[in-house]
Amino acid sequence: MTLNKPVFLNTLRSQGDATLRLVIAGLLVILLYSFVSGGVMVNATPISGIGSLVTAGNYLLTTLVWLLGLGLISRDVRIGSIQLVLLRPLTRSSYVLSKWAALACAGIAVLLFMHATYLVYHGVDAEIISNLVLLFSAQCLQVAAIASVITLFSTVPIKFGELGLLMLCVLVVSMLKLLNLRYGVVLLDQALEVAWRVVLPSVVFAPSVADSDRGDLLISLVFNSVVTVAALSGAVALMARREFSYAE
Amino acid sequence: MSTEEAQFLVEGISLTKTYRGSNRPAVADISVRVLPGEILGVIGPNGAGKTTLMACLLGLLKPEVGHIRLGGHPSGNLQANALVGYLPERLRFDPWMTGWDFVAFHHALTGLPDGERDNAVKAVLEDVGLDPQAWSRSIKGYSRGMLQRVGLAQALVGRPRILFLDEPTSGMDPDGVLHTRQRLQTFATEGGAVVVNSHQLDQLSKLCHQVVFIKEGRLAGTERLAGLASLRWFVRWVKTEGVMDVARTVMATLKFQQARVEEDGLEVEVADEAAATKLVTTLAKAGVPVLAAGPLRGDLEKYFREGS
Repeated sequence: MTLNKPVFLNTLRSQGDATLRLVIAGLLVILLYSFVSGGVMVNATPISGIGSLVTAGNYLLTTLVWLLGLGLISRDVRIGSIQLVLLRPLTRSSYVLSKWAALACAGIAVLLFMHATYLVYHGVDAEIISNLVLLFSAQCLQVAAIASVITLFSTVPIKFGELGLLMLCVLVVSMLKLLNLRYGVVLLDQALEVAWRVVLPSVVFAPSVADSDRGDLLISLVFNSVVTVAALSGAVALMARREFSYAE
Repeated sequence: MSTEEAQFLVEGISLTKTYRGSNRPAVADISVRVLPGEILGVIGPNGAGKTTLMACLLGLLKPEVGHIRLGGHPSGNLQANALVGYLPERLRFDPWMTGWDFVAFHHALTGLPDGERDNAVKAVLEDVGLDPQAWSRSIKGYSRGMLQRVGLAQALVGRPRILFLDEPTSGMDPDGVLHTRQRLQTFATEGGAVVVNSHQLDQLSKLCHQVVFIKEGRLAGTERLAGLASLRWFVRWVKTEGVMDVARTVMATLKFQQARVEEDGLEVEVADEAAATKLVTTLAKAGVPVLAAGPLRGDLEKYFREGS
C-alpha cells in the first residue's frame, strides 16, 4: 500500500480550491483563538477559566479538519470522477491512502499556522519550544486520526454523506449518554467516551500541555494511532468491495 | 490460457449482472470478444444494459456470473487497467482543472515517466484536435464537443491498447465527428481494440467491424457489418465547388438519386457493386475525384428495427 503522488497532489489542489474561503475563515478563527488563549497552551501555569478555550481550540481543529475533508472520496463518487481514476493502474488502497494523507497534510498545515501565530505573539523560549513540540506531535496524530475517520465515513455509500453520518453518530452517542445518566452503567459510559473520541478525536485533556499528565498524552497518542489504523483499514476494505458505474 | 483466448484483447464470457434490489438482471448471459484491430459497436435502446456491460468489461462492476479478460489479464487488475482508455458518456472532472491539467493528471496516473508528460499531453491534445487556446482554459467552460475531445485525449493518453467509449461523438460538430472517426480507425489499424456504445447508428455503421445488439439486458444479435449490407454500396467524392455541377449531371444521366452531403464529401448509395463500379468509372471520366467506394457497412437502423 503506497501513496499515489498524482492523487495526493490532486486532492490537495482540490481542497485548496473548493474550500479556500472556508479555510481562510477557519484560520482566522484559529488565529484569534491563539491570541485569546494567551500562554495557556504551553506555559506551566494555567490561567483560571481559560482551559475551556483550549478544549474549544481542540474541537475547532477537529471541526476544521472535518470541514476540509468533506467530500474527500464521496464527492469523487458523487460527481463520477472516481471511475476514471480507478481505471488507471493504481490500487484502490493507494487511492484511499493518498486521499487520507492529503487531508492529514492539510490539517497539519493548519496546525503549523496555528502554532506559528502563537510563537509570533508570545515569543520563543526553551520551555515553550519543548512543550510545543510535544503538543504538536500529539496534535499531528489527532489530525491523522480525524482524517482517517473522515476517510472511512467518506467511503460509506450513504445518501446523506459523511457529515450526515457524523451527525448521526454524534446524535446516537449523545442520546445514549443522556440515557445512561439515569442508569449509570460504567462500562457503557466508558464505551461511549471511546466512541465519542473516535468520531471527534481530541488530544489535550487538561487546560495545558504543561498541566497535563504525560501519561494522558501517551494514551492519546496510542489511542489516535489505533483509530488511524483501524479507520484506514475499514476505508480500504469498503473501497475494495464497492462497485462504480455510470449506469447506477 | 490457450493461444486462441490470448489473441482477444477484450473477452467477456457469459456475463450476468443484477443490481442490488432489482429482480431483473441488467445484463444477462452476454458474451463479447474483440480482436486487435477490431472496433465493436454496442447498440440498444435506453436502459438496455449497454453501460452496465461496459462497466462490467472495465471491472467497475463485478458480474455474478462470467469472466472477463482484457489483453489476457483479469479485468480490473493493474495490468489490465494499464491497457485501457475509457471515455464516459459525460465526462466528470474537478472543476478547477484546465484541459491540460486534466489530461496531465491522467498521464500521471498511468505511471509513465514525468519527463514525458508535457510532450505526451501536447501530442494527444493535438491529436484530438482541441484548439490550443482552450488547453489552458478551465474545463468547466468547455462546450460539449470540446469536452468530448478532451475526454478522448484523456482516454488516449498513456498509450492504451483498448479503448472503451460511451457516445464518443455526442455533441461534436461534423468536423469533430469525422476527426474522431478517423482517429479511432487509425487506433484500430495500429492494432488496438475499440468498444463503442452509441445511439448514432450512422456513425457506428461507418466505424465498426462488428456490432452487438442488446435489448433488455440480453444479446439480441451479433453482426459483422460487412455481411450486413453487402447488397448495397456507397460512392463518395469530393465536394469542391468546381466538380459539384459535373457530378450532378452524371447522377442525372445515370438516373441515380442525388448525393447527400457528408462531413468529408458527397455520398450516394447504390444498389450493388455493379452500379457502384459504373458510377465510379463515369465520375472519374468526368474529372470528379472519387474519395471512396465500397459495400455499405450496414443499415443498422433498419436492421436493428427488424432484429429487435
